[in-house]
Amino acid sequence: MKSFLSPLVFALLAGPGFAQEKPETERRIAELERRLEAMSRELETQKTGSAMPAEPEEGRFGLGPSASKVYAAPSGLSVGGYGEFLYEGKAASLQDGTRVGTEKKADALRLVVYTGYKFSDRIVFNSEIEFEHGGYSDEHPEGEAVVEFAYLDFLLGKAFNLRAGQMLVPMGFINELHEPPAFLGARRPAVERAILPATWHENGVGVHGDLPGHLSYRLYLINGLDASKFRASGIRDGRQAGKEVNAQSLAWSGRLDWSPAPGLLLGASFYTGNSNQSGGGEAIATTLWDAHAEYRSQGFQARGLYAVTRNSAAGLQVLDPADPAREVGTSQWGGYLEVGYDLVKGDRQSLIPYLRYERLNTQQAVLAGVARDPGQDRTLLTAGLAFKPIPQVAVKADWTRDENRARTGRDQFSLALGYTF
Amino acid sequence: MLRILAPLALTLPLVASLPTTQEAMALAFPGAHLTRKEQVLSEAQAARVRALAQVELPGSWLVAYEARRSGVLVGVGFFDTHRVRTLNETLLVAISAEGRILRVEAVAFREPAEYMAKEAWVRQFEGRGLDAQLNLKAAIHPLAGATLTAHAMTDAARRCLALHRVLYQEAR
Repeated sequence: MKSFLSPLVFALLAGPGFAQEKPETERRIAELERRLEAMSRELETQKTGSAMPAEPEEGRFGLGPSASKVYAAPSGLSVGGYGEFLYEGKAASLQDGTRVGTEKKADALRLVVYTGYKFSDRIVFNSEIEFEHGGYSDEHPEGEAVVEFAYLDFLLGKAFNLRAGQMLVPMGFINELHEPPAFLGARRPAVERAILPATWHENGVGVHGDLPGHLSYRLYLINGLDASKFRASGIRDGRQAGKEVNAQSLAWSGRLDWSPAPGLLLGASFYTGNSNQSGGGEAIATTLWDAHAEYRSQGFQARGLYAVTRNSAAGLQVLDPADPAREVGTSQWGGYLEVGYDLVKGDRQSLIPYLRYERLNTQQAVLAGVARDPGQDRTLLTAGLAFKPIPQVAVKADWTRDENRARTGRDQFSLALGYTF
Repeated sequence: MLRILAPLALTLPLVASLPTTQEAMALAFPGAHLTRKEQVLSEAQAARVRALAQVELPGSWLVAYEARRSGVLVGVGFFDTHRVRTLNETLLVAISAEGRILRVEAVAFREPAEYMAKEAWVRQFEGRGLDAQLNLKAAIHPLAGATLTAHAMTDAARRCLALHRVLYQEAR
C-alpha cells in the first residue's frame, strides 16, 4: 500500500512546484529562441544587406510597398586598379635588312588607381588616375600622371542614365576596357592606338543604358579633337585629354552593342565632329566609325574590329602649306583579327596561345600635293602566349612581325606583366 | 540638352535599383509559400560541400528559404554574399527540388555598375546542375570585361548547388 501511495503523495506535494517551474522553463526557452532569432536575422542582414521579413503577410513574400531596401547602409567608397610592366626588344635590322642595332627597353608602363564613390543609389562618381612610364617628376618629365576619366553617373533607369565629366570615348574594344588580363597581346593592337587612338578621353555629357533585345548604348557630346595636332601618323595627337581643352567645336560619339547570346558581342561605334578648334575658318570634319565583334566559349576567344577615319579635305586644304597637320590622312583605315585558345581546362589558371593579324594605313588618302608615307601602310602579325596564374594576373610574351610598304618595319619581342583588382 | 532631358527623366520608371530580397524570391518562386530555415553545417557536411563545389565555403551558418506550393517543396533559395573585386555582391541562387538552378538574381552589387553581369549572361545559369559543365571554360561563356564578376557568380552557383545537394538531396 505504501509503495502504491508514495508516488501519488509525492506528485501531489510536488505538483505546484512543477507547475511553477515548467512555465518558467518554457518562458526562458522562448526568450532564448527569440534572442537567437533576432541575432540570426541581424547576422543575415550583415551578410546579405537585408533579411526577409519575420512574418510574411499571408505566408508570402510579395511586392509590398514596405519591401526592404537592399542597400541598407553600404560603404560608398570603391577602389580598384590595374598595372602593367613592359619589356620590348626590337630587332637589330629593319625589314629591308638595314642594320640599326638592337633597342631594348623595360618600362613601368602603367599604374592605375580606380576610385569611385556611391553618394546614393542614383548618383555615383567614378574615376581613374594613371601614372605612365614610372610617373612624372622634374628629373623624368617623360612620364605622365593623368586623370583618364572622372565622371558622375546619374542613374535614372535601366534604359536611360546621364553621365557627365571626363569620359572615355566609347569606341572599339580597348579604349573603354584596357586592363591587361582582359586583352591578348603584350601590347595593345596597333589599330586601336593609331586609328582609334586609345586611350582617348575627353570632357562632356552623355546618356547610356540597356535596351530591350540585349542592346546597350552610349551617346556622348564631348569636346572635339584638335586638328592642329594631327600628323601623318594619324589623329592621335589631336586628343585633348581634358586638360583645359579647347571646346570651340564639339563632337558626338556613341556606340551600340548587341549581345544576342552569352559570349557573343556584336557592335559598332562612331565619332563625328569639327576638329577645327581655332574658333574660325573652314570646318575640319572628322568622322570615325568602327564595327566590332567578339566571341568567347569553352576556352576559345576571337575578336575582330574594322575602323575607318575621314577628315574633310576642304578644311585641311586651307592650313598653312608648312603645317604638318596637312599630312594627316583624309581617309584612314585599319582592322584586326585575333584568336586565342585556353589550353588549361577546368581550372582558374589559363595558358593561352594567341595570334593577331593587323592591317592599317593612316594615309590611305591624303590632300592633293601631300606625299604619302608608305611607312604608314602597315601589316603586323603577332604570335604569343599568355599565362594567367589567376584571372586577375597575366604574363604575356609575343613576337611581332611589323612590316610596311616603305620596308622600314622592325620586328620586336614583347614581354608584359599585368594585373587588375 | 539637359533642359530637354530633365523633364523626361522625371517621368521615367525608376528601375535602376536591384530587386529586394523579397522581390527576388517572388520572381524565383511566384506564388510559393516561403519558410526561413537556418542551417548549421557539421564539419563533415562543410567538407562535403567544399569537395562538391570546388570553391570556398566562407562559414557553416546559413539561411535557406524553402519554397512550397500546396505543401510540396518546390525549391530552395540561398542568398550568397561574396567579394567581386574589392567589394561584395549578394546573389539569390534559386534551386529546384531536383537540384537545378531556377534563377540567379543580384540583390546587392557594391562595385561600379559597369562590372555587373547583363541579364542575358546571367540567364545561362538557368537549368544548370552541379557538374563539370558549370565552369567558365565549359558551358558557361566568359563575360568580356567583367572576369571577376563572372568568376564570382559561377563560384556562387556551384556553392549553392553543393549546399542544396548536401542539405536536401544527400540528407534524405
